[in-house]
Amino acid sequence: MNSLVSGPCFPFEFLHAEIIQYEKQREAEQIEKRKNWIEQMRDNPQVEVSLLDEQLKSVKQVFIQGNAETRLEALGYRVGFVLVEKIAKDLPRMITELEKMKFLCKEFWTAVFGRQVDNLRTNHQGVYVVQDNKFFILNFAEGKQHVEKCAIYLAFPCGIVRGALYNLGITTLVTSSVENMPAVKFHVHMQQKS
Amino acid sequence: MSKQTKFPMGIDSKKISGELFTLTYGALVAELLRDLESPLAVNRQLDKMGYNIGLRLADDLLAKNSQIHRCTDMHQVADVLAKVALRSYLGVTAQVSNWNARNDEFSLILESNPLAEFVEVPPELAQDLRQEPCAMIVNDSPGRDDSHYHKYSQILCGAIRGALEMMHMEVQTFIVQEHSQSVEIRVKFIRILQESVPPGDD
Repeated sequence: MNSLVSGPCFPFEFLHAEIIQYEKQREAEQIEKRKNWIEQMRDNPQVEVSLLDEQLKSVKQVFIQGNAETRLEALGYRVGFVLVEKIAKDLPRMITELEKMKFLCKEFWTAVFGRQVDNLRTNHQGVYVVQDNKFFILNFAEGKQHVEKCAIYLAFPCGIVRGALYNLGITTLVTSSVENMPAVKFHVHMQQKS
Repeated sequence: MSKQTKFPMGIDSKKISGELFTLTYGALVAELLRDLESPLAVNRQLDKMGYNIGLRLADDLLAKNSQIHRCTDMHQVADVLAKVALRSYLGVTAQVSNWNARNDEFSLILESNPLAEFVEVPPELAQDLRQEPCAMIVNDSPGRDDSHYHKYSQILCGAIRGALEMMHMEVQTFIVQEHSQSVEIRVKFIRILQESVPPGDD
């Protein structure tokens, strides 16, 4: 996508990489802190062992909520939430879920990620699969070489998609999967309204 | 793929992608302010990120703009920064002004700040910036203590410093003032970095 590479938006990739770097670092720091804390508690004879185990469980829970991927996703959520307003502002109102998903795949995707999605599939029971064969964030590599490492690069876009859909009125859960490098599948699960 | 898809009125892909950058940056700053205890630490983190970006951005800039030749003085450096670098990455051009007598220090003035397009920095974070008069420019002692307050666009300083370091120029950069509309970045040339071969590496 030429306009993406040379346009004013290009440094986004660098910024994104830096954010990931920061979140990873932070996660490592948190793990370190947690370790120290556990050590401290172990050394402290006054605390009962059973009590400690219980505490550990809750600490772990809190920690999982604060790991790098979750935080990146939350960051993306904020961005997607705002972006969709800008993009959908002049469009006619979308009523059905399918209309909203179509909007996401056409207008939103083109505006934000630079191209239309290649494939949108659904099982008509609230699960959609959005496929982009050349997702721009993963443009740096092809093939299966770096597949394991790329998960963290997709947390932010997942958040963007979730935020956008939320602001359109659907609560979703968005995950991604990669089999072959620049191609990404986003799985969008509709959540039941409570 | 170069064919633009039919857009409904008012949607410009390039513009939105720029907004993606702006909004992402905004979300990052907000997160940093929540994570780190002092605005000073946030500035430092932003500067570091900018520096890392700048190191790589310099390569990209030279690869894509073959008309840039070796700069022999700071005037040329300033020109490239203001007219080429900022335009290609932020979509704005800057004014170069306030040269000092020795011609090794200048200000880049961005009329509009694309990073702060949708941003209002709360007054308690930006206090310092509003009270200080522009007379500060005259005072150029390097250890000036003006960094107690959050600098929203600090990442630009880091990026300029990083990019120029790739060109073997050590510079000092800091934000003199930033309002919602314009930013003034001061760039001061320190020295040329000598190319040194690591020991044992012929």
